[in-house]
Amino acid sequence: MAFRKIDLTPALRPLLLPSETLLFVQDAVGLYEGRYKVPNFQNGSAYLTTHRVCFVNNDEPRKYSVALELRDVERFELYNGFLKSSPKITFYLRPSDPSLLNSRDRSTSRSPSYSPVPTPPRSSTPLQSIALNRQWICPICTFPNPFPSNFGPTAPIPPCLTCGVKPNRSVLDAIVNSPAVPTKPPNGASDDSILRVGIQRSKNACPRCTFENDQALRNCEMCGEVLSSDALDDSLLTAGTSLSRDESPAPAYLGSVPAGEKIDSVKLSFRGGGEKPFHEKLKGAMVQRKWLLEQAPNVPSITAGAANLTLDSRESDAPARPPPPPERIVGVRGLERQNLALRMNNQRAIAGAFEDLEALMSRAKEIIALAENFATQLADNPSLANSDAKEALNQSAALLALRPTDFSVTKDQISSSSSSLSLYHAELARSIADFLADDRRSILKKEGGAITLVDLWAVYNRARGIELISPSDLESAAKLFDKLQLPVRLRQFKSGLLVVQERNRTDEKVARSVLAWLEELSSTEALDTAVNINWGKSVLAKDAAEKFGWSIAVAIEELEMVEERGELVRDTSFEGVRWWKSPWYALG
Amino acid sequence: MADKTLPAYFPEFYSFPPFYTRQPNASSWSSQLSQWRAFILSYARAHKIWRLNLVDAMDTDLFYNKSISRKLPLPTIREIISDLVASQNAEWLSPDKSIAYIYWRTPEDFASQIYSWIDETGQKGTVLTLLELTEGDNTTDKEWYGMDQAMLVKCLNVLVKKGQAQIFSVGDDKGVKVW
Repeated sequence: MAFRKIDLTPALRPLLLPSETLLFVQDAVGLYEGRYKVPNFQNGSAYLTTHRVCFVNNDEPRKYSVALELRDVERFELYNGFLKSSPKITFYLRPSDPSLLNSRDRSTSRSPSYSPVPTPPRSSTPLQSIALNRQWICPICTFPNPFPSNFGPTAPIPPCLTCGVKPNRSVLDAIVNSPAVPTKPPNGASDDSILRVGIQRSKNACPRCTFENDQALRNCEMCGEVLSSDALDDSLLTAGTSLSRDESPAPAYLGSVPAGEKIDSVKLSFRGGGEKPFHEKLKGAMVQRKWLLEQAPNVPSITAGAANLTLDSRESDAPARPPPPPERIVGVRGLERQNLALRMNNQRAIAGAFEDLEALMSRAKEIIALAENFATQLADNPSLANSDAKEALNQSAALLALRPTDFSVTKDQISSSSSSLSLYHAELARSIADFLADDRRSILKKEGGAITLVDLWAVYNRARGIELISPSDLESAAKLFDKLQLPVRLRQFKSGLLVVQERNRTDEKVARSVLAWLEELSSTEALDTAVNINWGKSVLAKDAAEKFGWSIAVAIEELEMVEERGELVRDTSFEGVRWWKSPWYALG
Repeated sequence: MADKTLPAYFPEFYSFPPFYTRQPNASSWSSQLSQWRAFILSYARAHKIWRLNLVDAMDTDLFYNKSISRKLPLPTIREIISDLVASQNAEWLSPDKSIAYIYWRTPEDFASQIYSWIDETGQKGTVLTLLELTEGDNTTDKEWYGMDQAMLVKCLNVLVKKGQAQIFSVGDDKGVKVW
């Protein structure tokens, strides 16, 4: 139950928590629970963040994407791979109190689909659990292997999990024939209770408190006990065999983890390599334990800092007064003093924060709050008539509030394995798509739905702040938009101008809106000349740019696109190119 | 306003500014082109223009709408005339494509008109000078009245080819006999 389903961004990357940052991305990763492959989770990308390890399936990302909280991980180890077995990183989970886990699950779940890995119920049919609870001891290396679930006279005998040598059939036969002394089933159900469950399967009684739960539930509503569910389809039993990598020596996940085997670890299998950098970054993340920061005490307030001395000395100039309890000064003087203190504090905060980058990062929250505060003050302040300055200040405040880390993918976050460059570009493309789709910024909306690649490069790099990307990387990434099925696409105009625009924006829609606008102009505005009476209003590219929020280059391209469709005609004169609704289009 | 006083042969597009810009879009251009063709021919008919000097015509009402200060550029004029030439409605007079005959009727039409007029007036078999045909008192109401001499020769050549006429040269003057 270590995995939780996660939300994805429009660009199909994991949605990061407010203070979470992405550390590393690796593709071609498979997922194991215990020693078993998890079906549907065998081909995806692993995202390592400061808080979680996320798995995003390549084919059906919306369906099969889960995350493992790093705080649930007790330790982890790297396995370097051996022959056909890929390198793996194993996460050992903290033993957790099931009731605690359940309550947490319940409190955080918003939808029924929130439940973790969509696997069939844990426990299996009585018969199977008996068989599965057994083990056979490898005669070569003495490793206790799980008894094959499909064992029969004709069934193939699996090799030992450790040494890979197939045992003699008689070894297994001996176990089958030996009196069944199964280890106690994990849910504490005796043979008796198994029988009872068989009778009452429609009601699904809890084996511990006997509360009759709904059949859909997997944990008892009253006591949180794991419920024994009987529905185990045969199809699920065979599901494991259809995995793409059945040549892997590890046993396939058979739809259910054998009872008696507690899942206390999960593994990431790195089929495309990249396990070492992942391991390194993971080590860092586990040391830093950023997820603790939220409860951590704030950075000590600056008032206690050295800067305070100046204030103190100033204040000490004043005649002696009782120090700690600030005396109440009423009236204008009190307000002024209060204001002064506030301003001094702000000044110190800013001075302290900008001293070095580290300090800035640690004070980021404070400074952002301050900037926002300034911004609101500016907005309220009627005396500040200079709107330009207002806007500039607003903008800088907005820029300070940007959180570049959400959108920046850097090359060192991407594995250095063979396909790294394209993976880097794919991740970059995803991050750009997220950046563009971000509601707080709504860059595409501001730009009228299309932004030139050059503008995007500038805006995106500005948002990143550091670790800037090169134009060629941006272009390569933009070219992957279509392949990755992102909500934006790259479009090349006739002149070769490259723009990035929303996927659902088609030429037809643009043409319709332009024409509707022209008609609206002609019907609402005063038609002052004979020309306008006959032919309606005309526009310059500049007007279109203003109306739709396009840049001039995009406006020209869009108008030419509509012209290409025959719905606009141009009028070139000394004052520039004016655009008219085509009277010929309707004719022909 | 200004365009209301224009004669009927001026198309409504005469006051449409984009009419004076060569449209890059193919379908828009073909509409524009056909309207220009019709306008040039009807304008030439109304003004009895036989030879069109492109450079001179640029500043006439034909290609220059002063009320909206739009002028059809010379290359576009040339393109339209070339299109007329391609459909036998015009003919380049010089290889540099600066002057063209505008046939608002085809030479065949003119030839048959002249032939029937000569027939109607009973002048078959008599020799008529070309000036008599184009400048004579009897032909003032005819469509070919005032026609360019060289153009008239081209039209009469149609009759010559049919064996219905013969052209003589008398010094500088030319005569024609139709039978």
